[in-house]
Amino acid sequence: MTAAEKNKSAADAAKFAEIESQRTYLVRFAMAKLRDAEVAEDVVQEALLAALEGIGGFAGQSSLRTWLTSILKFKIIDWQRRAVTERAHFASAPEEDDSADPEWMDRLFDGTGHWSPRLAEWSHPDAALSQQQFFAVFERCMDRLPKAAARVFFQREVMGEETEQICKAEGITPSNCWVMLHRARLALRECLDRHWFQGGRETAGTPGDTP
Amino acid sequence: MNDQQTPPAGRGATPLASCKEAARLMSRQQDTPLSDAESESLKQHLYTCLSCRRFDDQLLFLRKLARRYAEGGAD
Repeated sequence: MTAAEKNKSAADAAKFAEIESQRTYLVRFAMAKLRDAEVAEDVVQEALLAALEGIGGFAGQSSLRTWLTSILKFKIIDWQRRAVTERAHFASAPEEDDSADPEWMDRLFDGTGHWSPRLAEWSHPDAALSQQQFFAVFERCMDRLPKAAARVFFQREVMGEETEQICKAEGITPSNCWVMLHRARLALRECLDRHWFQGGRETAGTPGDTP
Repeated sequence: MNDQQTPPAGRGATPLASCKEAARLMSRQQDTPLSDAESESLKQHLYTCLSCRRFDDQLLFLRKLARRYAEGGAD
């Protein structure tokens, strides 16, 4: 092997490791669209293989995650087209009963509907955005959400889709969608508050049993 | 510790009775515009309620966090 070839294979290995490090995120992304963990893993695998083949096309203008996500989006659409015959899968009913507020929501407010306890200020939230550990807490907080709520939140806030589009894909009404989003936001706020902003930094590895 | 202040006098809309309702509106506002009446009621509630102002800021931060996460996470 020449020195040039050695350098090239070292560079390839580095690229491979970098791409591989995005797998968890991509599986989450695919799960928000496809619901089925096994299908999501498969589609991500296809996308990663395509990415490795096409790594030369990555110009570095966007982040690696953004580039991989764009490849994954095509793979998801491909899969959805192939699965069009399995309509039942997409038409499945919402997984939760939305008629009443869950019990944990009532615990956030007192009898007169005021915050209980009152909300504390988050100090330097922007500084948290430069800490990988904070994103790990965010991921674990998302994992604690009910599945449907997690999907809807991911599509709305991470993918930036409009609620109308999300409701259609989920087969739910807009007001259902808002209820789910609101609950997801309340739960995530609580979780980040508890496990990061209110002194949870040292024990950030173990979000507790509150959603 | 006291979140409550004297509300501004002489405004038209009925202020919201509860933070629970205000929180719902703040969340919905992230997805779709509120009616003028809802928007005015919310504004009045926020004027007097520190916890809800914090919630509003935290909702915005949550959105920022999710977008940053989509781009790859920490810098």
